[in-house]
Amino acid sequence: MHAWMLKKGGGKSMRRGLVAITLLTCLQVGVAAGQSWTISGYVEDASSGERLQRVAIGVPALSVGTVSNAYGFYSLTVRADSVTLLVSHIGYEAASHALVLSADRTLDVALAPRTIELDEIQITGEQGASLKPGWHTASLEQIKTLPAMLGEVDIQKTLQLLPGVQGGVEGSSGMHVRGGGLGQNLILLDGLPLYNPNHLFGFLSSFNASAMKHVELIKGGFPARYGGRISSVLNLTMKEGNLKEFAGEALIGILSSQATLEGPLKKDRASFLVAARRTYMEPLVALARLFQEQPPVERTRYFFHDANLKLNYILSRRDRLYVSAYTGQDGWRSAQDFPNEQTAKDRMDWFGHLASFRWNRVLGARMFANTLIGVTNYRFQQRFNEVEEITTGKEDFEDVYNGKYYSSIRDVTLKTDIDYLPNPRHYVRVGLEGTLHRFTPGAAEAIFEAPGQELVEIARKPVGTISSQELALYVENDLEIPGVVRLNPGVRFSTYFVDGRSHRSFEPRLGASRSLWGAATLHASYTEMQQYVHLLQSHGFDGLSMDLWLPLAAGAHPLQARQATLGFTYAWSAGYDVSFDAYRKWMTGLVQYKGGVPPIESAYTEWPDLVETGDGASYGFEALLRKTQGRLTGWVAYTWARTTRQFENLNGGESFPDRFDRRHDIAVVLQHHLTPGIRISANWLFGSGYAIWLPSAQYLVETPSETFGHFFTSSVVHYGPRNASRLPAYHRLDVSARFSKRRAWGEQAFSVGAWNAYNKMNPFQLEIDAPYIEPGKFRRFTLFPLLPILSYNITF
Amino acid sequence: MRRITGTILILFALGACESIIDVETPSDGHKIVAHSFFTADSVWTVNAGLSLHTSGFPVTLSHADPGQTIVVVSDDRGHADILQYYPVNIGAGLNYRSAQGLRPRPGVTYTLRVEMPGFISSETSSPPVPVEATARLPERVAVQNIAYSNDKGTASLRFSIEDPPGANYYRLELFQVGPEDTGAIINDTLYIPQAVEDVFNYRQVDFRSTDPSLHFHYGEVGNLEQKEAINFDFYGRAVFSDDLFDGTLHDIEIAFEPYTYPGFEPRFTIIFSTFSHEMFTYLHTLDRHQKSAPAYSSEVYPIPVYTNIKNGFGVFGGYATDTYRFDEDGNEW
Repeated sequence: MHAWMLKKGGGKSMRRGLVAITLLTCLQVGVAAGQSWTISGYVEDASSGERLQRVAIGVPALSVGTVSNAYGFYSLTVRADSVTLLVSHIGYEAASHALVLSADRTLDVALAPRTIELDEIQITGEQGASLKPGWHTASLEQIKTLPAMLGEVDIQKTLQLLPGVQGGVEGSSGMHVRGGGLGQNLILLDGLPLYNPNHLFGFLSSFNASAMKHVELIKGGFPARYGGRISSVLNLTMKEGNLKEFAGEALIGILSSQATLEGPLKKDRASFLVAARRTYMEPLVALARLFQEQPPVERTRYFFHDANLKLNYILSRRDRLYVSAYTGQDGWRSAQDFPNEQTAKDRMDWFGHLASFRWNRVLGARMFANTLIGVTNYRFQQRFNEVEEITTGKEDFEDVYNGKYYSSIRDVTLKTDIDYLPNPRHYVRVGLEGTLHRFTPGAAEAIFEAPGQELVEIARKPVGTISSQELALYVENDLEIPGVVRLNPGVRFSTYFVDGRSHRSFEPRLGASRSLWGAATLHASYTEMQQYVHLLQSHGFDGLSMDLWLPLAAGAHPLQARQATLGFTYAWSAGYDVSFDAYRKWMTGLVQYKGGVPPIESAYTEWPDLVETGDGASYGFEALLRKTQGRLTGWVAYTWARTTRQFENLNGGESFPDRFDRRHDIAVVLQHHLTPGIRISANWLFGSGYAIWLPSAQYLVETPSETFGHFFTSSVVHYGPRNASRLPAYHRLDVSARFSKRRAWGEQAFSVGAWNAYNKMNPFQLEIDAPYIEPGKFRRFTLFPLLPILSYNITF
Repeated sequence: MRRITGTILILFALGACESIIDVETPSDGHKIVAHSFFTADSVWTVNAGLSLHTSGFPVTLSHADPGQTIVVVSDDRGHADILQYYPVNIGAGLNYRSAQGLRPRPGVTYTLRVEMPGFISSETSSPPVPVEATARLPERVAVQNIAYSNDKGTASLRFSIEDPPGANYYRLELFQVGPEDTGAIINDTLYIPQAVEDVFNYRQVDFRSTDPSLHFHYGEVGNLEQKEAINFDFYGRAVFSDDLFDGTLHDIEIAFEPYTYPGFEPRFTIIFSTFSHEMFTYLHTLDRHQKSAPAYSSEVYPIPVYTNIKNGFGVFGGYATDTYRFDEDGNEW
């Protein structure tokens, strides 16, 4: 048991303190409001009408300012009769507005995109005071132009280049954030969680970068508005669709192609965006047949596709409606023909769907509401069909066996968030969120038909379909005490109902930052998070196939995490900034399969019987040095971390390294604009070896034989301490060049490069089953040696 | 899952490849492996061998030199018996047995110590450290109130056991006497036959039961109706604990389909064994270990095989057996 668990009594007083801080500061804002005028409105892109978030709006003369929220709304209350409002945002021309105030005022601001010349300053990220350790806003322009495996642009793989984010097994697009698992990331697409963020067995994320407007990753210092996962928040916002004119983008890659089209349904009133992607890998997979030397002949096929849709309608000055949708599917097909007139077909499908309806309403000059109702769904299913033609001489007939295994989760969510900005020193957020979860965690059906025999039907649902309800309420206040500190206290209450039982959670959050000198800032945070759904993963792969999303069951505990961080940021005027962050994180309620339990067992056994429950801990230090301006941009990220697990029934109850425990992680990302049309990019990654659990000895035993009463001598492999060995260090260099040319109709670009340019044989899998291998030597499978990067892209 | 892996490899077939690399593993070198399943029905017998590194052909596992091995069994009163090398080709290592013909006694705790002071292999410069284990021989639990019936080819057998208080572990096996060519087993001991007259020709019979106690499960017992058709592990034998009937008179009912041998009278034997905790845990983990693939190439986490041999591998555990033989009419034979 960790020390912090023993000090729960002490934690209560701290929790009470945080509630008091949050509520008192919320009450205080009314006093601070006083006599003043409020300027409010939206900030949008002048060329597309797209609302812009995190735009800085300020009155330099008064030293006050604010930023637009996720929907482009801003509100700034000033104590003056005339002000000059300065509005600035990355990649846009700054705008200023002189205003004479005698009442509250609405002002929508349209910012013109900056036309970037080569010798001008390039800005690719947030700067200065807006820097927060543990918070990263990824530039989509950069994501789309950095080297990507086979040219497939991948948002999550780019995020893996940030400190504190690890990818797991080689080539995986999953994210292990600060010692957490894949199921601990709250991945929000337009405000709704997406349960299956992967394609291609976990090697490619399912987000189409062309359809995205904003990508934000939070690793620590979580605000109270986020909850339900314990390790990270990945917030993706889709583009709203161009309100002014039609625009589009198309990309042809090695594995897949994609197209995006957006435009006005009614100019300046309604718009749409639709994006679609599809693989054309079937011929490649069909190569498998060439390697088959003897029956059965197997025909294999694999594909994935996804599509995004966004509709946007401006109902009135105060009201705006959005519809967001995503659908994705991965499919794997296999058919085998055996010589004895027997055929077997197998198919697996992974589905992910999401749809939401959102209503933005301005409730007043200082208040904004966002209401969302949506449904998100994930389903995995495997179907198999075996047919055997039997010829008796007198008649022919068939034995038919059909089977199906599936698991699914479906959420229906209704939530409302209210932003209240009483004055420039306060930003209050309150919200209420309700979710209906519906789980089918592993079910199997089988039907056997044979002439003259009774039809055999078997249906197994050890748990069946479980409905549960989650309700959460949060209060958050971002306040500034000028010259002293900036605080973000908050609390989140949640209740989870399942099987007639309820679990309650009280999660205090506190973030604080204090300017030291110039643009140097000290940051600290403490957060508690709770998660009511578990992702149960199979051992061999990461984010692959039969992972199960599970509700809390009888006797199970929610996942809980506490995280404390201490950070420092500093920005130079020349476009350099640096951030350091140290963190410590404790986790309880972690689950993993018991030894020897295959995922298919979930069709036969209630899942609490299949898992071990334990604790985890992670601590580390992260450093990030960035250059955000000039011809050369990029960053260097370094992480030192240690992640452990402790389960009562594993490793003799002793703490052991997590499978993805990695001591050192380095990423160097550089982009250089050689000419206006040529950009070269390079990534270099280094990671010390992951932990791996390997056998340390073998010996002989006598085993009962399946033949009657005989024994045979067999070998037993002995596993030493869990995860006591280390894989070799991982490193890789990716390089690419992008050649773009402006045309009258838009722009075309061609990217070429090499992924894993120096062909480092990083291990995907280790085996020792070949007996001729010497002791200490293992057979290493490398999945991704040098691979080409090739893509052609047009935008108009 | 292997086919999925194959698909992934094919997808990246242009580049995917394999090579041999060094990985530093926590090698255990040569450790002493000792197995002794002791029962009051048999003289003391211990099988001793050596472990090897994880690589290499299992058939090349070298065993200890008989002359350089010391095997001692002592009881809790300090009485010790130095076992002698017994040149019989049974088991995975070298066999040692009591030259005095001593047998374990129920309720007594025994300590096993094995040393190989002179054994130095080409891979190690020092002999393996001595190993030691302690275990107690459990008391026999008898089957009683036996009732047998047969309805249209499906047989049913009911019996009771008086479970002593505390944790107890059992194994239930069912056999049917068959023609001589159906194979033979040695009466529940792994290594040493007792006498010629104890050797029977009979076949193990698979059975099923709705009794939750008998079912193999990963944790708490779930829906029994759904589990009824699931075969037991341990090759048709039920190995179970008294978790669900601790300290009570417990009725067990099993169903099975007897084999049909023309001209051969159906006769059956049930063997009900009481295991020590060590033996139960060892058999449980061994069975699951062998049914799961290695960790580094499969979708399941591996299962370490239990050992109570300090500094070594294997198991030192006791058991007691109650045997009941009955014919088609339910009469004892």
